[in-house]
Amino acid sequence: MTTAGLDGDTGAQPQRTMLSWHRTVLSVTLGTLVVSITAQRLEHPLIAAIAALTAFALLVLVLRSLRQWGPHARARWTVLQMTCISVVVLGSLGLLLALVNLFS
Amino acid sequence: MCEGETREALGVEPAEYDDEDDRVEAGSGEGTGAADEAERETRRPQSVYGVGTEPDVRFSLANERTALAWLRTGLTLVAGGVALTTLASFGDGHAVLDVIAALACLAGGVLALAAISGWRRRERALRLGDPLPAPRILPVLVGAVAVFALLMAGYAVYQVLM
Repeated sequence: MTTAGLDGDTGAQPQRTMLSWHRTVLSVTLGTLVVSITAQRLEHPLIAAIAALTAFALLVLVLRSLRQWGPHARARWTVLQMTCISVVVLGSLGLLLALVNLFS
Repeated sequence: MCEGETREALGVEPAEYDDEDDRVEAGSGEGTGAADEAERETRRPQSVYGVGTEPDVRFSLANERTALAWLRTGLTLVAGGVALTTLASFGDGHAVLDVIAALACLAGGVLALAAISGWRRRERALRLGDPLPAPRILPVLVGAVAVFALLMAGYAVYQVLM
């Protein structure tokens, strides 16, 4: 009978999880850049700047934290929190863009 | 399906960390019981890691991937909202598109918060050996997508008729 845990799993689970992290970080970064470009096109330079800075800060912070990632590492919660905050910030910027576009 | 049933379905038995050797073999890297206790007290979030026992790491990793998938779903809603804002800017009088875009972005942000809340609830259940909680946000998401689709269909019909 197989024993559950990483010993019986030969690394596939951490790899899949890491790939999932990569997809998420890539998606958030690209999403932020899309918001930035859209804001720039709609002539809202402040929103564009905030979005671009968010993308940059996110990349630096998350990639630094992911270096410490491991199946038993403590950094996972921090990175998860930062990624969640990034999506919320992105959603807020998108909401702001839609409202500014609506009332201008 | 609860954790025990999941393990039975997988045909595996939980890893037992009864002695120090097992811990070292499993790669947890922890040392003594005092160190475990110190880690339990400092590891965040306390509402999750302050209770229960360390579950099979595969279940924790699967929980993490589920939370990430929810985050990406939220992000997709935000991206859809931004795309609609761009679309609305191409012509005049597309206030409906802007309203739908705003709602989509709002839903995306809420979904991201729900993702992290769901992760906490599931990890806590895993640690306590409780049955996994049902995803609370799933029915809301299904409803929101249905409303979103209806609004878009209504808008398309309106555009054709006008």
